[in-house]
Amino acid sequence: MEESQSVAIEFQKVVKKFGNFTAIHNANLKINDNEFFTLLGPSGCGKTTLLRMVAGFEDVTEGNILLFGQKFMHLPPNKRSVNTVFQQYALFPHMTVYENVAFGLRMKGWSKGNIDTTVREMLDLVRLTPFAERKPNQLSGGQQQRAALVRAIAPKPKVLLLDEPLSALDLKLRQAMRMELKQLQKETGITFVFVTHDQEEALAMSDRIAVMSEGVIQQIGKAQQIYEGPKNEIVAKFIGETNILDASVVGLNKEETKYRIAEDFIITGESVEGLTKNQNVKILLRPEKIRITPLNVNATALRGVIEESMYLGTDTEYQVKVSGGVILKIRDQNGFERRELISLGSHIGLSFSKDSIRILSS
Amino acid sequence: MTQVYKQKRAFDSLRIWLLLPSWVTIGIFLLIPVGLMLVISFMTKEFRGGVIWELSLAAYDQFLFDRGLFGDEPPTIQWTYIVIFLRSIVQAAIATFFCLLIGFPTAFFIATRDSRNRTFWIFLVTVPYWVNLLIRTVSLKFLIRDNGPINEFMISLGLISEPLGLINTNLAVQLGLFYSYLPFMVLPIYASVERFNFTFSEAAADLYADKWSTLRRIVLPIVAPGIAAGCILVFIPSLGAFLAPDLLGGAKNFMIGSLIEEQFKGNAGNWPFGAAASMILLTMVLIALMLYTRQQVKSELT
Repeated sequence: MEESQSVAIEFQKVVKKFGNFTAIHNANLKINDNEFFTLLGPSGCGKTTLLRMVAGFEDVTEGNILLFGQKFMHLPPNKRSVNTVFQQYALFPHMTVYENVAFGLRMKGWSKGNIDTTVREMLDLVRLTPFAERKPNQLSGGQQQRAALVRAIAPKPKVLLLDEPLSALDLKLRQAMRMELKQLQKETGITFVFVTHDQEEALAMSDRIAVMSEGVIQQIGKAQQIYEGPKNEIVAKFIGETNILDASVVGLNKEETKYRIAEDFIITGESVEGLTKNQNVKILLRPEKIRITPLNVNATALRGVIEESMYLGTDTEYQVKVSGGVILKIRDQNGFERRELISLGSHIGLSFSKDSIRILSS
Repeated sequence: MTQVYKQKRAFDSLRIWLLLPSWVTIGIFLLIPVGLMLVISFMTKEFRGGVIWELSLAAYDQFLFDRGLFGDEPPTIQWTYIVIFLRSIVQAAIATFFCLLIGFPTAFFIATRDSRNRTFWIFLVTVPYWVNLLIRTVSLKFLIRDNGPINEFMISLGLISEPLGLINTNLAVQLGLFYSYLPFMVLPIYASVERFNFTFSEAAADLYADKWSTLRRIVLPIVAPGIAAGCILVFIPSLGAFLAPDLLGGAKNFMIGSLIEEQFKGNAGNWPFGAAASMILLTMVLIALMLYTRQQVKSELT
């Protein structure tokens, strides 16, 4: 009972087929009330389809979706108390900003006075009051975005669905809107279900993220959980950059595990349960977890040769060839020490802590 | 920069040459004849058709006033032609209304088909144009006359005992106009519905609008230019039509087009009067178009 009250949307074994093509495979997902939840995945992964099923623009082939514990799949879109912010905003071109925001309230049959108060409040909230009488094509991209946002929030939906709403904006505006969206979610207390293919956006805003790929929900968790502890290779590859190394287990004890990647390339990690000797595994190592050290500090340290370097402002990315011909990607922050770029062909030492590697048993 | 500028200049001069044929055509075949009509409408009539080149307001006077058989009685308002005019407007308006009633759903249907099938449906709409309008109108006359197939069929079924008497009525004229100009309604509406972004109707449904409200408040206002274009394309030719009223309406249901046609046919005609009636018709059409354009400009601005 307790739980069903706090869950805003629940997907139960949802399958969606378009003809022979299965867009969603058995999706199970609970989105909590008052949560900023993100569906993250590459285009065509089914994230927008999930959203459109909640909005009522697509039906569910199998399974069910519940809204605060209630069945609502039988209702047409106009009877569902969820609202959508569309990718291209879909502001009605023949109406002013004011009329656009008032539209949903009018359709819900609110009184004139109530509509006026709410619309003004909403326009105020996103600083569009001076533009109330403008038509959508007289607004900038960011203003259109904010108008679309409050148009969807004004009717006070139980859940707000956002379909890549920031993708049409340029970088600076997109970053500003991230903050604004997050703030708006907190102020209104409405559950936000946000769809994006931009991992940075997802990490920055979400309370929790579901990573999707090819119609399958791969992993659900907080931003940090997903970044630091990807469940599989798909998630690891999609979120951030990572080194994926094939290895076999060569030594285990209570404290640590040793993996061999190449002949004289053996690395040590924390002990992991369930591994057996000679088992083949994949090792994930984030580029920013590797430190570059002078060669002679530790004789046993890993060594490598700089093959490629890319200066990126806040940090520099190196491709380093280590023993066995393995190439590692390394991100070195251009922090406190003003450092000369390490020139190509330099021999360097590498180190990382035991807890920075993740193991996927293959 | 200068290169681009030069190219643009070259295009500009090329554009003048590209436009020239249509300017010449419009000049020779539209402006000159209309100007000629305007002049003739102020001339004196010749009894066997043709004109005497003497300035006269007789044609316009005849349209509006009755001065008796010999033209020596005090003038009274001549209702005959005014009634014909008003009837024409009403007939054209009714035909336009029915074209819209049938044409909009048709266009909407076609525009929402699969893009491959749309071409086929549009092709079907244009099929009637393979046959000459005169022949189509005559066929329609055969179809609805008292001993035509429609009446005979319904009598044989026992639905009616006497022919419906469709021919030579206003209804028959409306049917003729409706049938002649329906594609003119369908095509522009199709063009604007096809461009309509259906995300707007999804957004409306998302904001609690039912199907009817979505149609009325979102779809119709956005495709309105197409509807207006269709109405103009049906209303204006209907107003001046003479085939349908001649063949289907008989003598009682005269429209302005037939009246004008009459004045230029054979020896019985009156060229200045026909020209004057044409000018009055043209003026009315221009006023209607001007009002429409002003409305358009106004709705663009607000």
